[in-house]
Amino acid sequence: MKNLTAVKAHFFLDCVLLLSWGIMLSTLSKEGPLSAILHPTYKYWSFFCGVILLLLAFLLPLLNNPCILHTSSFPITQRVVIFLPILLALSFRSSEFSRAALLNRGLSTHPNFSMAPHDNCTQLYQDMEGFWNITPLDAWLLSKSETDRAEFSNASVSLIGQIMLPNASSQLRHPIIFRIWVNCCFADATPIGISISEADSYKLESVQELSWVHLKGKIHFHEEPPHVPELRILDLQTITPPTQKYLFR
Amino acid sequence: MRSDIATPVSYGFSFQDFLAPFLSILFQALPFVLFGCLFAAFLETILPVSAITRLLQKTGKFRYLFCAFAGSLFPLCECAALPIVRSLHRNGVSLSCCVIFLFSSPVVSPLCVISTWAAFQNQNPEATTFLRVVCVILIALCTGIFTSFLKSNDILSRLSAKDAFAAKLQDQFLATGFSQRLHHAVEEFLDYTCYLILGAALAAILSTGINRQLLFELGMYPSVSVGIMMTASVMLSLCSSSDAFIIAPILGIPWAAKLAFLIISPLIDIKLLVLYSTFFRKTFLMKISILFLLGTFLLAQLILLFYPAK
Repeated sequence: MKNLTAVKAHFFLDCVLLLSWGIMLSTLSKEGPLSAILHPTYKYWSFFCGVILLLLAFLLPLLNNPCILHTSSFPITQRVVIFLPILLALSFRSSEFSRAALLNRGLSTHPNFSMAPHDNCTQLYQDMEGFWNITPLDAWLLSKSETDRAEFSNASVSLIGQIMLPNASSQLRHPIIFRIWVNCCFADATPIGISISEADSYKLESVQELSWVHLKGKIHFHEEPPHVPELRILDLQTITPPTQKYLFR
Repeated sequence: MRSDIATPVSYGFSFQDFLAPFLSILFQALPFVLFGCLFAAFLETILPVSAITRLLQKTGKFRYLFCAFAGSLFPLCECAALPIVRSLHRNGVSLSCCVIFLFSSPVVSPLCVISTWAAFQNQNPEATTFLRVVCVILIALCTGIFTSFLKSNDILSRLSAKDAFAAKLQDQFLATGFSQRLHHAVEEFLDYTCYLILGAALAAILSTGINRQLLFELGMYPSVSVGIMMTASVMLSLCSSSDAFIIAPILGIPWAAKLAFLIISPLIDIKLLVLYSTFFRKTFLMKISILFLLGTFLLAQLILLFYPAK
Protein backbone atom coordinates (compact mmCIF):
# COMPACT_ATOMS: atom_id res chain seq x y z
CA MET A 1 0.00 0.00 0.00
CA LYS A 2 2.82 2.28 0.96
CA ASN A 3 4.59 1.40 -2.31
CA LEU A 4 1.57 2.24 -4.40
CA THR A 5 1.26 5.65 -2.74
CA ALA A 6 4.93 6.32 -3.44
CA VAL A 7 4.50 5.25 -7.06
CA LYS A 8 1.48 7.52 -7.43
CA ALA A 9 3.45 10.41 -5.93
CA HIS A 10 6.32 9.75 -8.35
CA PHE A 11 3.89 9.56 -11.24
CA PHE A 12 2.38 12.90 -10.23
CA LEU A 13 5.86 14.41 -9.94
CA ASP A 14 6.77 13.11 -13.41
CA CYS A 15 3.67 14.74 -14.89
CA VAL A 16 4.61 18.03 -13.17
CA LEU A 17 8.11 17.74 -14.61
CA LEU A 18 6.76 17.07 -18.09
CA LEU A 19 4.41 20.03 -17.75
CA SER A 20 7.18 22.37 -16.55
CA TRP A 21 9.60 21.31 -19.28
CA GLY A 22 6.78 21.45 -21.85
CA ILE A 23 5.85 25.02 -20.91
CA MET A 24 9.49 26.08 -20.79
CA LEU A 25 10.52 24.56 -24.12
CA SER A 26 7.44 25.73 -26.00
CA THR A 27 7.66 29.32 -24.74
CA LEU A 28 11.36 30.06 -24.24
CA SER A 29 12.43 28.48 -27.53
CA LYS A 30 10.15 30.85 -29.45
CA GLU A 31 11.41 34.21 -28.19
CA GLY A 32 13.60 35.80 -25.56
CA PRO A 33 17.30 35.55 -24.68
CA LEU A 34 17.27 31.76 -24.68
CA SER A 35 15.71 31.59 -28.13
CA ALA A 36 18.56 33.77 -29.44
CA ILE A 37 21.15 31.10 -28.66
CA LEU A 38 19.24 28.27 -30.32
CA HIS A 39 19.97 27.38 -33.93
CA PRO A 40 17.10 28.65 -36.15
CA THR A 41 16.53 25.13 -37.51
CA TYR A 42 16.69 23.31 -34.20
CA LYS A 43 14.60 25.79 -32.21
CA TYR A 44 11.51 24.44 -33.98
CA TRP A 45 12.49 20.95 -32.81
CA SER A 46 12.74 22.29 -29.26
CA PHE A 47 9.35 23.95 -29.65
CA PHE A 48 7.71 20.74 -30.90
CA CYS A 49 9.44 18.79 -28.14
CA GLY A 50 7.81 21.21 -25.67
CA VAL A 51 4.40 20.73 -27.25
CA ILE A 52 4.76 16.92 -27.14
CA LEU A 53 5.81 17.06 -23.47
CA LEU A 54 2.76 19.21 -22.70
CA LEU A 55 0.53 16.69 -24.48
CA LEU A 56 2.17 13.82 -22.58
CA ALA A 57 1.71 15.63 -19.26
CA PHE A 58 -2.05 15.72 -19.87
CA LEU A 59 -2.39 12.42 -21.74
CA LEU A 60 -0.51 10.09 -19.40
CA PRO A 61 -2.83 10.40 -16.38
CA LEU A 62 -5.79 9.78 -18.70
CA LEU A 63 -4.28 6.81 -20.50
CA ASN A 64 -3.08 4.52 -17.75
CA ASN A 65 -2.27 3.98 -14.13
CA PRO A 66 1.35 4.28 -13.07
CA CYS A 67 3.42 1.16 -13.59
CA ILE A 68 4.91 0.05 -10.28
CA LEU A 69 7.70 -1.91 -11.97
CA HIS A 70 9.36 1.04 -13.67
CA THR A 71 8.53 4.04 -11.53
CA SER A 72 10.04 2.60 -8.39
CA SER A 73 13.55 2.46 -9.93
CA PHE A 74 13.77 6.20 -10.52
CA PRO A 75 14.99 8.11 -7.43
CA ILE A 76 13.84 11.53 -6.29
CA THR A 77 17.35 13.05 -6.61
CA GLN A 78 17.19 12.54 -10.36
CA ARG A 79 13.95 14.46 -10.50
CA VAL A 80 15.61 17.34 -8.63
CA VAL A 81 18.45 17.35 -11.18
CA ILE A 82 15.89 17.52 -13.99
CA PHE A 83 14.20 20.47 -12.34
CA LEU A 84 17.40 22.58 -11.96
CA PRO A 85 17.81 23.63 -15.64
CA ILE A 86 14.28 25.03 -15.57
CA LEU A 87 15.38 27.52 -12.89
CA LEU A 88 18.59 28.28 -14.80
CA ALA A 89 16.68 28.82 -18.05
CA LEU A 90 14.25 31.18 -16.37
CA SER A 91 17.10 33.23 -14.90
CA PHE A 92 19.02 33.33 -18.19
CA ARG A 93 19.35 36.93 -19.36
CA SER A 94 22.50 37.50 -21.40
CA SER A 95 24.15 35.18 -23.87
CA GLU A 96 27.29 37.23 -24.46
CA PHE A 97 30.63 35.60 -23.71
CA SER A 98 33.28 37.24 -21.57
CA ARG A 99 36.68 38.14 -22.99
CA ALA A 100 38.25 35.05 -21.40
CA ALA A 101 35.65 32.69 -22.89
CA LEU A 102 36.06 34.28 -26.32
CA LEU A 103 39.81 33.73 -26.18
CA ASN A 104 39.24 30.15 -25.04
CA ARG A 105 36.98 29.66 -28.03
CA GLY A 106 39.73 30.65 -30.42
CA LEU A 107 39.43 34.35 -31.21
CA SER A 108 42.73 35.32 -32.75
CA THR A 109 44.27 37.39 -35.48
CA HIS A 110 46.55 34.52 -36.33
CA PRO A 111 45.28 33.03 -39.59
CA ASN A 112 46.13 29.43 -38.84
CA PHE A 113 43.77 29.30 -35.90
CA SER A 114 40.93 31.29 -37.31
CA MET A 115 38.23 28.93 -38.36
CA ALA A 116 36.42 29.91 -41.51
CA PRO A 117 33.80 27.45 -42.75
CA HIS A 118 33.72 26.25 -46.34
CA ASP A 119 30.42 27.88 -47.09
CA ASN A 120 29.73 30.44 -49.73
CA CYS A 121 29.35 34.08 -48.78
CA THR A 122 25.91 35.31 -47.98
CA GLN A 123 24.52 37.44 -50.82
CA LEU A 124 26.57 40.61 -50.54
CA TYR A 125 24.95 43.90 -51.41
CA GLN A 126 25.94 47.56 -51.58
CA ASP A 127 24.11 50.26 -49.66
CA MET A 128 23.13 53.68 -51.09
CA GLU A 129 26.57 55.08 -50.24
CA GLY A 130 28.35 52.27 -52.07
CA PHE A 131 29.50 50.33 -48.99
CA TRP A 132 29.40 46.53 -49.20
CA ASN A 133 27.51 45.05 -46.25
CA ILE A 134 29.64 42.16 -45.02
CA THR A 135 30.25 40.10 -41.89
CA PRO A 136 33.68 39.05 -40.59
CA LEU A 137 32.84 35.58 -41.90
CA ASP A 138 32.31 37.00 -45.41
CA ALA A 139 35.69 38.72 -45.23
CA TRP A 140 37.39 35.41 -44.42
CA LEU A 141 35.56 33.67 -47.23
CA LEU A 142 36.49 36.45 -49.69
CA SER A 143 40.14 36.03 -48.74
CA LYS A 144 40.06 32.42 -49.95
CA SER A 145 39.35 33.24 -53.61
CA GLU A 146 41.84 35.07 -55.82
CA THR A 147 39.06 36.61 -57.90
CA ASP A 148 37.23 37.88 -54.82
CA ARG A 149 40.43 39.29 -53.35
CA ALA A 150 41.10 41.18 -56.57
CA GLU A 151 37.52 42.45 -56.72
CA PHE A 152 37.19 43.47 -53.09
CA SER A 153 40.70 44.67 -52.31
CA ASN A 154 40.43 48.25 -51.03
CA ALA A 155 36.62 48.10 -51.34
CA SER A 156 34.46 50.16 -48.98
CA VAL A 157 32.72 47.86 -46.53
CA SER A 158 30.22 48.25 -43.72
CA LEU A 159 29.92 45.73 -40.93
CA ILE A 160 28.42 45.23 -37.51
CA GLY A 161 30.24 43.39 -34.75
CA GLN A 162 31.82 43.47 -31.32
CA ILE A 163 35.20 44.98 -30.59
CA MET A 164 37.96 43.22 -28.71
CA LEU A 165 40.97 45.29 -27.77
CA PRO A 166 44.48 43.86 -27.41
CA ASN A 167 46.01 43.48 -23.97
CA ALA A 168 49.12 41.99 -22.43
CA SER A 169 47.55 38.71 -21.29
CA SER A 170 46.50 37.46 -24.70
CA GLN A 171 48.12 36.87 -28.07
CA LEU A 172 46.07 39.65 -29.64
CA ARG A 173 48.26 42.35 -31.12
CA HIS A 174 45.56 44.34 -32.93
CA PRO A 175 41.97 45.29 -32.16
CA ILE A 176 39.47 42.91 -33.72
CA ILE A 177 35.90 43.28 -34.85
CA PHE A 178 34.20 39.94 -34.52
CA ARG A 179 30.94 38.01 -34.67
CA ILE A 180 30.18 34.60 -33.20
CA TRP A 181 29.54 31.86 -35.73
CA VAL A 182 27.45 28.87 -34.68
CA ASN A 183 27.34 25.71 -36.74
CA CYS A 184 25.05 23.42 -34.74
CA CYS A 185 24.79 24.55 -31.11
CA PHE A 186 26.64 26.82 -28.70
CA ALA A 187 29.14 24.07 -27.91
CA ASP A 188 30.72 24.90 -31.25
CA ALA A 189 30.24 28.70 -31.09
CA THR A 190 33.36 30.24 -32.60
CA PRO A 191 34.26 33.93 -32.73
CA ILE A 192 35.42 34.97 -36.18
CA GLY A 193 37.14 38.32 -36.40
CA ILE A 194 38.98 40.71 -38.69
CA SER A 195 41.97 42.72 -37.57
CA ILE A 196 41.72 46.45 -37.54
CA SER A 197 44.79 48.14 -38.92
CA GLU A 198 47.37 48.99 -36.25
CA ALA A 199 47.47 52.59 -37.48
CA ASP A 200 43.77 52.94 -36.64
CA SER A 201 44.06 51.63 -33.07
CA TYR A 202 43.82 55.14 -31.62
CA LYS A 203 40.33 55.54 -33.15
CA LEU A 204 39.11 52.85 -30.76
CA GLU A 205 40.29 54.54 -27.59
CA SER A 206 36.78 55.69 -26.67
CA VAL A 207 35.23 52.31 -27.50
CA GLN A 208 34.60 49.93 -24.62
CA GLU A 209 35.75 46.33 -24.74
CA LEU A 210 33.13 43.99 -26.28
CA SER A 211 30.78 46.83 -27.21
CA TRP A 212 28.78 46.54 -30.42
CA VAL A 213 29.83 48.87 -33.23
CA HIS A 214 28.86 49.74 -36.77
CA LEU A 215 32.11 50.11 -38.65
CA LYS A 216 32.64 51.56 -42.11
CA GLY A 217 36.04 51.11 -43.65
CA LYS A 218 38.27 49.81 -46.41
CA ILE A 219 39.16 46.12 -46.58
CA HIS A 220 42.43 44.78 -47.91
CA PHE A 221 44.08 41.38 -47.95
CA HIS A 222 47.66 40.56 -47.05
CA GLU A 223 49.69 39.62 -50.11
CA GLU A 224 51.29 36.53 -48.65
CA PRO A 225 49.10 33.42 -48.00
CA PRO A 226 46.71 32.90 -46.30
CA HIS A 227 45.79 36.47 -47.35
CA VAL A 228 44.46 37.65 -43.99
CA PRO A 229 41.85 40.40 -44.35
CA GLU A 230 42.41 43.71 -42.52
CA LEU A 231 40.30 46.83 -42.09
CA ARG A 232 41.06 50.56 -42.17
CA ILE A 233 38.45 52.57 -40.29
CA LEU A 234 36.55 55.34 -42.10
CA ASP A 235 33.72 55.71 -39.61
CA LEU A 236 32.84 54.01 -36.34
CA GLN A 237 29.67 54.22 -34.26
CA THR A 238 28.74 52.42 -31.07
CA ILE A 239 25.34 50.75 -31.42
CA THR A 240 22.91 48.72 -29.33
CA PRO A 241 23.28 44.94 -29.78
CA PRO A 242 21.36 43.69 -32.86
CA THR A 243 18.44 41.30 -32.45
CA GLN A 244 20.35 38.57 -34.30
CA LYS A 245 23.68 38.59 -32.48
CA TYR A 246 24.98 35.32 -33.83
CA LEU A 247 25.69 34.06 -37.32
CA PHE A 248 24.09 30.65 -37.71
CA ARG A 249 25.03 28.28 -40.45
CA MET B 1 52.28 38.14 -36.11
CA ARG B 2 52.57 35.66 -33.25
CA SER B 3 53.50 36.98 -29.89
CA ASP B 4 55.95 35.48 -27.42
CA ILE B 5 53.24 35.03 -24.79
CA ALA B 6 52.82 31.33 -24.01
CA THR B 7 49.34 30.06 -24.84
CA PRO B 8 47.61 29.27 -21.54
CA VAL B 9 45.54 26.13 -20.99
CA SER B 10 42.61 28.38 -20.15
CA TYR B 11 41.90 32.10 -19.98
CA GLY B 12 39.24 31.32 -17.37
CA PHE B 13 35.48 31.66 -17.68
CA SER B 14 32.45 32.78 -15.71
CA PHE B 15 29.17 31.09 -14.79
CA GLN B 16 27.43 33.14 -17.51
CA ASP B 17 29.91 31.77 -20.09
CA PHE B 18 28.96 28.26 -19.01
CA LEU B 19 25.21 28.87 -18.98
CA ALA B 20 24.69 29.71 -22.67
CA PRO B 21 26.37 26.58 -24.10
CA PHE B 22 24.89 24.41 -21.35
CA LEU B 23 21.30 25.48 -22.08
CA SER B 24 21.91 25.43 -25.82
CA ILE B 25 23.24 21.85 -25.79
CA LEU B 26 20.41 20.73 -23.53
CA PHE B 27 17.58 22.44 -25.41
CA GLN B 28 18.83 21.21 -28.77
CA ALA B 29 19.62 17.63 -27.71
CA LEU B 30 16.44 17.05 -25.72
CA PRO B 31 14.10 16.73 -28.75
CA PHE B 32 16.33 13.97 -30.14
CA VAL B 33 16.27 12.08 -26.85
CA LEU B 34 12.48 12.40 -26.67
CA PHE B 35 11.97 11.31 -30.27
CA GLY B 36 14.35 8.40 -29.68
CA CYS B 37 12.32 7.25 -26.65
CA LEU B 38 8.98 7.68 -28.45
CA PHE B 39 10.28 5.94 -31.56
CA ALA B 40 11.50 3.05 -29.39
CA ALA B 41 8.05 2.80 -27.77
CA PHE B 42 6.41 2.87 -31.20
CA LEU B 43 8.84 0.20 -32.48
CA GLU B 44 8.08 -2.03 -29.50
CA THR B 45 4.34 -1.67 -30.10
CA ILE B 46 4.27 -2.38 -33.82
CA LEU B 47 6.94 -5.09 -33.85
CA PRO B 48 6.26 -8.24 -31.84
CA VAL B 49 9.05 -9.20 -29.43
CA SER B 50 10.18 -12.09 -31.58
CA ALA B 51 10.11 -10.27 -34.92
CA ILE B 52 13.42 -8.46 -34.54
CA THR B 53 15.22 -11.52 -33.19
CA ARG B 54 13.83 -13.60 -36.08
CA LEU B 55 15.01 -10.97 -38.55
CA LEU B 56 18.48 -11.10 -37.03
CA GLN B 57 18.48 -14.92 -37.13
CA LYS B 58 17.65 -14.77 -40.84
CA THR B 59 20.74 -12.69 -41.50
CA GLY B 60 22.79 -15.52 -39.94
CA LYS B 61 26.52 -14.93 -39.96
CA PHE B 62 26.02 -11.47 -41.41
CA ARG B 63 23.94 -10.26 -38.46
CA TYR B 64 26.79 -8.12 -37.13
CA LEU B 65 27.20 -6.40 -40.51
CA PHE B 66 23.42 -5.99 -40.71
CA CYS B 67 23.44 -4.26 -37.30
CA ALA B 68 26.36 -2.06 -38.34
CA PHE B 69 24.50 -0.70 -41.36
CA ALA B 70 20.95 -0.72 -39.90
CA GLY B 71 21.48 2.85 -38.69
CA SER B 72 21.73 4.07 -42.29
CA LEU B 73 17.94 3.68 -42.52
CA PHE B 74 17.33 6.29 -39.81
CA PRO B 75 18.66 9.84 -39.43
CA LEU B 76 19.83 9.07 -35.88
CA CYS B 77 22.35 10.88 -33.75
CA GLU B 78 24.19 9.54 -30.68
CA CYS B 79 21.61 10.89 -28.22
CA ALA B 80 18.65 9.21 -29.95
CA ALA B 81 20.36 5.86 -30.54
CA LEU B 82 20.56 4.78 -26.90
CA PRO B 83 16.79 4.61 -26.17
CA ILE B 84 16.36 2.53 -29.34
CA VAL B 85 19.18 0.20 -28.34
CA ARG B 86 17.68 -0.22 -24.87
CA SER B 87 14.37 -1.11 -26.50
CA LEU B 88 16.07 -3.58 -28.89
CA HIS B 89 17.74 -5.25 -25.93
CA ARG B 90 14.42 -5.55 -24.11
CA ASN B 91 13.11 -7.17 -27.28
CA GLY B 92 15.68 -9.91 -27.04
CA VAL B 93 18.38 -8.61 -29.37
CA SER B 94 21.80 -9.81 -28.19
CA LEU B 95 24.04 -7.31 -26.43
CA SER B 96 26.78 -7.65 -29.04
CA CYS B 97 24.32 -6.67 -31.80
CA CYS B 98 23.03 -3.79 -29.64
CA VAL B 99 26.58 -2.52 -29.08
CA ILE B 100 27.38 -2.63 -32.80
CA PHE B 101 24.18 -0.77 -33.67
CA LEU B 102 24.73 1.82 -30.92
CA PHE B 103 28.23 2.79 -31.99
CA SER B 104 27.86 2.57 -35.74
CA SER B 105 24.39 4.05 -36.25
CA PRO B 106 25.38 7.72 -35.69
CA VAL B 107 28.11 7.58 -38.31
CA VAL B 108 26.26 5.61 -41.00
CA SER B 109 23.21 7.86 -40.70
CA PRO B 110 22.60 9.96 -43.82
CA LEU B 111 22.94 13.19 -41.77
CA CYS B 112 26.49 12.38 -40.70
CA VAL B 113 27.61 11.09 -44.11
CA ILE B 114 26.34 14.19 -45.94
CA SER B 115 27.73 16.65 -43.37
CA THR B 116 31.20 15.04 -43.41
CA TRP B 117 31.28 15.07 -47.19
CA ALA B 118 30.09 18.70 -47.36
CA ALA B 119 32.52 19.95 -44.71
CA PHE B 120 35.58 18.36 -46.31
CA GLN B 121 35.08 19.81 -49.79
CA ASN B 122 38.55 20.45 -51.30
CA GLN B 123 40.06 18.16 -48.65
CA ASN B 124 39.49 14.70 -50.05
CA PRO B 125 35.76 14.54 -49.20
CA GLU B 126 35.12 11.03 -50.58
CA ALA B 127 38.11 9.46 -48.83
CA THR B 128 37.38 11.29 -45.54
CA THR B 129 33.73 10.21 -45.49
CA PHE B 130 34.53 6.65 -46.58
CA LEU B 131 37.36 6.16 -44.09
CA ARG B 132 35.34 7.70 -41.25
CA VAL B 133 32.46 5.29 -41.83
CA VAL B 134 34.70 2.26 -42.39
CA CYS B 135 36.92 2.92 -39.35
CA VAL B 136 33.95 3.49 -37.00
CA ILE B 137 32.24 0.33 -38.28
CA LEU B 138 35.45 -1.65 -37.83
CA ILE B 139 35.81 -0.44 -34.24
CA ALA B 140 32.10 -1.05 -33.54
CA LEU B 141 32.38 -4.60 -34.93
CA CYS B 142 35.45 -5.28 -32.77
CA THR B 143 33.59 -3.94 -29.73
CA GLY B 144 30.60 -6.14 -30.58
CA ILE B 145 32.77 -9.23 -30.87
CA PHE B 146 34.53 -8.32 -27.60
CA THR B 147 31.11 -7.91 -25.95
CA SER B 148 30.00 -11.36 -27.12
CA PHE B 149 32.65 -12.91 -24.86
CA LEU B 150 31.33 -11.15 -21.75
CA LYS B 151 28.42 -12.00 -19.49
CA SER B 152 25.52 -9.58 -19.48
CA ASN B 153 26.13 -8.96 -15.77
CA ASP B 154 29.54 -7.55 -16.66
CA ILE B 155 28.10 -5.27 -19.33
CA LEU B 156 24.79 -3.89 -18.15
CA SER B 157 24.35 -1.41 -15.36
CA ARG B 158 22.27 -2.63 -12.43
CA LEU B 159 19.51 -0.25 -13.44
CA SER B 160 19.22 -1.54 -17.02
CA ALA B 161 19.39 -5.18 -15.88
CA LYS B 162 16.51 -4.40 -13.51
CA ASP B 163 14.78 -2.56 -16.33
CA ALA B 164 15.03 -5.57 -18.67
CA PHE B 165 13.74 -7.85 -15.92
CA ALA B 166 10.85 -5.47 -15.20
CA ALA B 167 9.97 -5.31 -18.90
CA LYS B 168 9.90 -9.11 -19.06
CA LEU B 169 7.58 -9.28 -16.04
CA GLN B 170 5.41 -6.59 -17.54
CA ASP B 171 5.18 -8.46 -20.84
CA GLN B 172 4.08 -11.56 -18.98
CA PHE B 173 1.69 -10.18 -16.42
CA LEU B 174 0.57 -6.71 -17.39
CA ALA B 175 -1.05 -5.05 -20.35
CA THR B 176 1.52 -4.24 -23.02
CA GLY B 177 -0.48 -1.78 -25.07
CA PHE B 178 0.78 1.51 -26.43
CA SER B 179 -0.26 3.42 -23.30
CA GLN B 180 2.00 1.25 -21.10
CA ARG B 181 4.81 1.61 -23.61
CA LEU B 182 4.26 5.36 -23.66
CA HIS B 183 4.49 5.54 -19.90
CA HIS B 184 7.69 3.56 -20.00
CA ALA B 185 9.03 5.85 -22.76
CA VAL B 186 8.38 8.86 -20.53
CA GLU B 187 10.15 7.18 -17.60
CA GLU B 188 13.08 6.48 -19.86
CA PHE B 189 13.08 10.01 -21.24
CA LEU B 190 13.27 11.48 -17.73
CA ASP B 191 16.02 9.03 -16.87
CA TYR B 192 18.10 10.08 -19.90
CA THR B 193 17.33 13.76 -19.35
CA CYS B 194 18.95 13.56 -15.94
CA TYR B 195 22.17 12.17 -17.41
CA LEU B 196 21.99 14.48 -20.41
CA ILE B 197 21.93 17.43 -17.99
CA LEU B 198 25.11 16.20 -16.30
CA GLY B 199 26.76 15.46 -19.65
CA ALA B 200 25.77 18.83 -21.12
CA ALA B 201 27.16 20.60 -18.04
CA LEU B 202 30.51 18.82 -18.40
CA ALA B 203 30.59 19.46 -22.17
CA ALA B 204 29.79 23.15 -21.62
CA ILE B 205 32.56 23.53 -19.03
CA LEU B 206 35.15 21.86 -21.25
CA SER B 207 34.10 23.58 -24.49
CA THR B 208 34.19 27.00 -22.82
CA GLY B 209 36.92 26.60 -20.24
CA ILE B 210 39.71 25.04 -22.29
CA ASN B 211 41.74 27.07 -24.73
CA ARG B 212 40.96 25.49 -28.12
CA GLN B 213 43.78 27.42 -29.71
CA LEU B 214 46.25 25.50 -27.57
CA LEU B 215 44.69 22.15 -28.52
CA PHE B 216 44.71 22.98 -32.21
CA GLU B 217 48.23 24.42 -31.97
CA LEU B 218 49.50 21.18 -30.42
CA GLY B 219 47.53 19.25 -33.05
CA MET B 220 49.82 20.63 -35.74
CA TYR B 221 52.81 18.57 -34.59
CA PRO B 222 52.57 15.34 -36.65
CA SER B 223 53.98 13.11 -33.89
CA VAL B 224 51.29 14.03 -31.34
CA SER B 225 48.57 15.41 -33.62
CA VAL B 226 46.45 12.24 -33.61
CA GLY B 227 46.41 11.97 -29.80
CA ILE B 228 45.73 15.66 -29.32
CA MET B 229 42.87 15.71 -31.82
CA MET B 230 41.31 12.67 -30.16
CA THR B 231 41.54 14.40 -26.77
CA ALA B 232 39.97 17.53 -28.26
CA SER B 233 37.11 15.50 -29.70
CA VAL B 234 36.39 13.73 -26.40
CA MET B 235 36.46 17.01 -24.48
CA LEU B 236 34.40 19.13 -26.87
CA SER B 237 31.53 16.57 -27.07
CA LEU B 238 30.32 17.72 -30.47
CA CYS B 239 27.41 16.12 -32.33
CA SER B 240 28.52 13.72 -35.07
CA SER B 241 26.43 15.59 -37.62
CA SER B 242 28.31 18.86 -37.06
CA ASP B 243 31.81 17.96 -35.84
CA ALA B 244 33.20 17.83 -39.39
CA PHE B 245 32.35 21.51 -39.90
CA ILE B 246 34.40 22.42 -36.84
CA ILE B 247 37.55 20.48 -37.62
CA ALA B 248 37.67 20.72 -41.43
CA PRO B 249 38.56 24.42 -41.77
CA ILE B 250 41.45 24.44 -39.30
CA LEU B 251 44.69 24.83 -41.19
CA GLY B 252 47.89 22.96 -40.41
CA ILE B 253 46.45 19.86 -38.73
CA PRO B 254 47.38 16.63 -40.58
CA TRP B 255 44.47 15.03 -42.40
CA ALA B 256 44.91 11.78 -40.44
CA ALA B 257 44.59 13.69 -37.16
CA LYS B 258 41.38 15.32 -38.39
CA LEU B 259 40.15 11.88 -39.33
CA ALA B 260 40.99 10.60 -35.82
CA PHE B 261 38.88 13.49 -34.44
CA LEU B 262 35.98 12.39 -36.67
CA ILE B 263 36.32 8.68 -35.85
CA ILE B 264 36.36 9.03 -32.06
CA SER B 265 33.62 11.71 -31.98
CA PRO B 266 30.56 9.43 -32.52
CA LEU B 267 32.08 6.68 -30.37
CA ILE B 268 32.85 8.39 -27.10
CA ASP B 269 32.93 11.81 -25.48
CA ILE B 270 32.25 13.30 -22.06
CA LYS B 271 28.52 13.77 -22.66
CA LEU B 272 28.09 10.27 -24.10
CA LEU B 273 30.05 8.64 -21.28
CA VAL B 274 27.58 10.06 -18.77
CA LEU B 275 24.61 9.11 -20.95
CA TYR B 276 25.87 5.57 -21.61
CA SER B 277 26.38 4.98 -17.89
CA THR B 278 22.57 4.60 -17.68
CA PHE B 279 22.86 1.41 -19.73
CA PHE B 280 26.38 0.06 -19.28
CA ARG B 281 28.46 -0.77 -16.24
CA LYS B 282 31.25 1.69 -15.53
CA THR B 283 33.93 -1.02 -15.84
CA PHE B 284 32.57 -2.05 -19.23
CA LEU B 285 32.46 1.59 -20.34
CA MET B 286 36.07 1.97 -19.29
CA LYS B 287 37.09 -1.14 -21.24
CA ILE B 288 35.36 -0.11 -24.45
CA SER B 289 36.64 3.47 -24.10
CA ILE B 290 40.18 2.08 -24.09
CA LEU B 291 39.27 -0.06 -27.09
CA PHE B 292 37.91 2.99 -28.94
CA LEU B 293 40.93 5.13 -28.13
CA LEU B 294 43.42 2.41 -29.06
CA GLY B 295 41.52 1.44 -32.22
CA THR B 296 41.20 5.04 -33.40
CA PHE B 297 44.83 5.79 -32.58
CA LEU B 298 46.14 2.75 -34.46
CA LEU B 299 43.92 3.31 -37.50
CA ALA B 300 44.86 7.00 -37.64
CA GLN B 301 48.58 6.19 -37.33
CA LEU B 302 48.16 3.74 -40.19
CA ILE B 303 46.53 6.46 -42.30
CA LEU B 304 49.27 8.90 -41.24
CA LEU B 305 51.84 6.44 -42.62
CA PHE B 306 50.21 6.54 -46.04
CA TYR B 307 49.28 10.24 -46.07
CA PRO B 308 51.95 12.00 -43.95
CA ALA B 309 51.98 15.26 -45.89
CA LYS B 310 48.28 16.02 -45.93
